[in-house]
Amino acid sequence: MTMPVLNKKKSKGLYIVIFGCGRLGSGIANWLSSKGNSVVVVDRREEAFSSLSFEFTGFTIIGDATELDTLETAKVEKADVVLALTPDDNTNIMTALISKEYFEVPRVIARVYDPNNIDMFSEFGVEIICPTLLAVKEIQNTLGFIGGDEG
Amino acid sequence: MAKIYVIDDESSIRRLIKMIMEEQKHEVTTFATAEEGLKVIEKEPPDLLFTDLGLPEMNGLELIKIVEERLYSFPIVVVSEITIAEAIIEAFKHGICDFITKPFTPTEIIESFEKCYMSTDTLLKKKKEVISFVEAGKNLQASKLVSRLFANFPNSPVPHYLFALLAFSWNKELAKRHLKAALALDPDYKEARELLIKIDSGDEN
Amino acid sequence: MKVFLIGGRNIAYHLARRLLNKGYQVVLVNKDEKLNEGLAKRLKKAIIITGDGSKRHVLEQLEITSKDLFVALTPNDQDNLVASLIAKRVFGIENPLALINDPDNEAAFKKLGIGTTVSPTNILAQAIEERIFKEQITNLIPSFEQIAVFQIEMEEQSPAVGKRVMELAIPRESVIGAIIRAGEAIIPRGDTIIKSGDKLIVLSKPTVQSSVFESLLGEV
Repeated sequence: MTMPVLNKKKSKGLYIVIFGCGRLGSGIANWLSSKGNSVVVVDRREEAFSSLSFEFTGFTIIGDATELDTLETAKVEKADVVLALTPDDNTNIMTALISKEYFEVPRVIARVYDPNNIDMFSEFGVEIICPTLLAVKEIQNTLGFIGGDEG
Repeated sequence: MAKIYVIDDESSIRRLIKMIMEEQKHEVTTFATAEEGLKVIEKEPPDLLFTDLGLPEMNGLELIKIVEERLYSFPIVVVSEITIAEAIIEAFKHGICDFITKPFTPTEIIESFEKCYMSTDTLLKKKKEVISFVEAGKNLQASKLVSRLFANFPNSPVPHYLFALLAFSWNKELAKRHLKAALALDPDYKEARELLIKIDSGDEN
Repeated sequence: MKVFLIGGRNIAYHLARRLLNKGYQVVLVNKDEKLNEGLAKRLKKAIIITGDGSKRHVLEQLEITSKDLFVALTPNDQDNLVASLIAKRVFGIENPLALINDPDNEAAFKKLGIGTTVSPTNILAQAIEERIFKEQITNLIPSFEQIAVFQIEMEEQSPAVGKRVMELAIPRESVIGAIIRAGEAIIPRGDTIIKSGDKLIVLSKPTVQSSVFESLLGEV
């Protein structure tokens, strides 16, 4: 679940659209823009953009991720990477699937809390980050390190 | 390496274009207002200018008109949120080379730069070619090339200068007329002025 | 065969009522517990489940089979999309039906395999447009995007009446394909004169519709 591709092209920054400017979205937006990428952040609420740092070099668009119009305004069809990071699972899934299937974006990553649907949406070529599973793995690792007697 | 100016009132956009073009090994200077940009343009014009349309005091279109009136030869690329056809057409009427809507991708910026800058670049290359033809006495090839340049770069003083260079040996009056035309298009055109002085002083002797 | 209705307040209720009357088994899934209590009182024969019908773990408890009908009716396109994708991919229902709130999403849903969609916004918009474009105009192929085909009835005062077809100032992207006069079809030529009572069959790009109406009927 790391993102090595994002730093791969040295000569030219990528065009990245991020849906959801919460803690994760704004943090990633700040980091990606500092790496020389052209970043567009989309959120329904204008106040959300206040969490972008002063150093953020990019664009902000107020809009609903479930409206095709918003995706068009953000020029998703030209994006190298789309990140769907709103607080709502289904919104992220829909935005990610449309970006992948309809706009044919090369890399699409969605955050989904419910681990149930991961297989199904991975079939579309969307990469899923599941905080629930990550936490489970992390705890397993930690426990394994401490106790180590699984069998 | 080209010298690029960027005028945009949003600092994040200024820094983004700077970052993209510096990555391409160009020299980038940014300004938040048209007034500041114009001051520096007057001292030292860039090879290409990226400008927004919606700017605080003097707006982008006014700036474009001033650049057009003063006959600067550098290409202008407008980078704007505005997508109204009328505004875009108006900007093109006043001689801009390209129009990019925000948000833009790095590719859009780089491709637009290449398209607009390279076109003046081609002109300079052709100029060298014409001069080498004239020096080699191949006047027919030179005049063919110059007439093509007139068609491709109608607003540039360079074809006039080249034609004067070509006509210099057989019709000084014609050469002078074209040098004056070149200077009318660009009063700071050094080579044209020098050649004009050369012809005039030759007449006196 | 069972019919699963996911979300939707009034629409779900009225749909359920009709389907129950026709003898279908109906399952309603809704997040709102209060609403469900009311529904349970009014729809005695229906099975009513409280839960998020766009979540797989909820749907998995409902014993859905590939032969069932699945209709997603929530006010959120993203929930309808996810619910119908689960119905299709997990339960093998070939044509789940999804309500679309933003009509622009229709093409995207189709691309993702949800081909059967209903957009109330579209239906209303079309109904309103047809009201605006007078009653004389009948849209023959509704909501086909590339071309519009209309039947336009000529009245005494219509500006086109008395003119030859070649004199009409209709847009280039439109053509009068046929004229129905006294029950007979005439294929018009440039010199055919338009008469009152004629029904013109007009083909046009949808984008120039209004100028077609304006030049044939006057103010629209």
